[in-house]
Amino acid sequence: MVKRQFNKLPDIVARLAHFGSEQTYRELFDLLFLPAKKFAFCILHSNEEAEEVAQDMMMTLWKQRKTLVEITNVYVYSLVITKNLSLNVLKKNSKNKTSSLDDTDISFFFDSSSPEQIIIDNELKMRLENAIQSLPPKCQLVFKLAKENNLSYKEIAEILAISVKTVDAHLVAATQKLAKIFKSEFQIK
Amino acid sequence: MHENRIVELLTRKIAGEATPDELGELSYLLTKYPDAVYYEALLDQVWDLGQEGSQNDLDEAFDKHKLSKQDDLDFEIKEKVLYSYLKNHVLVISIITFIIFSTSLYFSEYYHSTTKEVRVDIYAAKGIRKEIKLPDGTYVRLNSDSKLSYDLDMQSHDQRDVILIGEAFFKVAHDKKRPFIVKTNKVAIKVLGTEFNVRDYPGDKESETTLIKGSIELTINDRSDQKFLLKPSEKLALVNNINNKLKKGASSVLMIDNISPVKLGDQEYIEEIAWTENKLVFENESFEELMPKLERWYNVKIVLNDPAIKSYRFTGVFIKENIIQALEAMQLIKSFHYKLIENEIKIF
Repeated sequence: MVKRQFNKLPDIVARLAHFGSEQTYRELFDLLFLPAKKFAFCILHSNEEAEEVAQDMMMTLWKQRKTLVEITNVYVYSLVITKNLSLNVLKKNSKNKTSSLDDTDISFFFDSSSPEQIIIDNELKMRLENAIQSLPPKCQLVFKLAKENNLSYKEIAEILAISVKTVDAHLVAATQKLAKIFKSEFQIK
Repeated sequence: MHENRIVELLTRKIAGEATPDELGELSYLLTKYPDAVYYEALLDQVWDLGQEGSQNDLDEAFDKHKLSKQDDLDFEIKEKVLYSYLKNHVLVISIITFIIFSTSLYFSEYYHSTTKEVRVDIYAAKGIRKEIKLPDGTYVRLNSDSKLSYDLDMQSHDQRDVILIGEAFFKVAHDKKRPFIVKTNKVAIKVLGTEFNVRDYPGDKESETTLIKGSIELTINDRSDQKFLLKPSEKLALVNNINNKLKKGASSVLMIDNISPVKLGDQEYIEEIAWTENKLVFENESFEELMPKLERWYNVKIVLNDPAIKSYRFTGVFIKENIIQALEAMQLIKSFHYKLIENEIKIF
């Protein structure tokens, strides 16, 4: 498993401001595009729309490249932009006046490309996915951001505009659901 | 119920948010209820499910992205093309306007933003080499078609940062407390006080750092965990492997070498830094490799499509020759024709 090296972000952002070169932009793209696309997919359920949103997010960063150095955490910033752009798409699609994450369906799947698991087979994976999908939207997103994006409570709170305490409560609720399935599946006493 | 508390604590542990007290409580609970250890193993497994997409997806996604946003993605490399079309006499004026424009741009940015940095950009156009003395006393010689950016107030910071596109020779003023750092698109070089040459032109396959005196510490932007220490007379070349574009990890090759003087007649030249004495030295180089160097040196555009001529190899030095004399000298070694139309030279 390759860990994305987000500690390089400040350096990449600084170089992008000065060089504006394709090579540096590509480094930024490699770090931020896929997480944004996956995040947008959870909200939009459409691969094409998610890709468009992730591309537009990258364009927003490109246009702001001269001032991006002033932003403390560009990774979090990129996901905030992604969330807002995704909500805009929802708004346009449904023609509703408002769109909020609270009344949005979230799709959650464990990646199919994961290495073979010994304990968790496909059937169990589906049960776990169903369990997660029965949770409230923000709860699912917290779980996704904590698990797949390795973000801290504080960062997740910033992205979803909720408090750190709520992040903790959501994540614990999600793992409790999973634990309940484990308990019956593996007869843990 | 104990397992609810255990799962709660495990969650915080995996998320990296557990306090030392909570970790203590967790390990106590796990010894008391040994079966609960399964929860930890299982949650760990869940966390590992599907973490990464592959690099191939990214290559494809990036190409698609470039295609769909090509009107807005104005990468700054284009700047170079513009300059190559300008004529000599227009150039002098354009350099001056460029410097005035870019400094005023930075000043205006300074007033509009909250950052307190005043950065100065110096640009040496094609056919021009420039000498600069930085605020800290460091001497820089900037080669043709290169840009150096530095902070006017560099001495009030912990380190002296400059950003280079192209090629420059540095004689760094000694200051133990404030390391001097040269950043290019591919590498970063940290020094205390020394003499060295850096070449990293956008579009060139190879970037090269040559140390003359002292010692430097070099990091490559792609792999910041590795550091390379260079000794005097050593050079480090980073060659982009174009064929291997798909595999990002192996996209560049590193070569550390000693510099060897080029003997021409009864003179010896060090190719890497000869340009600082206004000499263009090349040893056993193909016409293809030489082309960008001639273009920058003489501010011309060379059009050469014949693969046979591209592979002609030359060794030599140009000092006072103009481009016509240079080409005529090269014709003595290998036969080819050229045609000069304004600033463009066709070789056939």
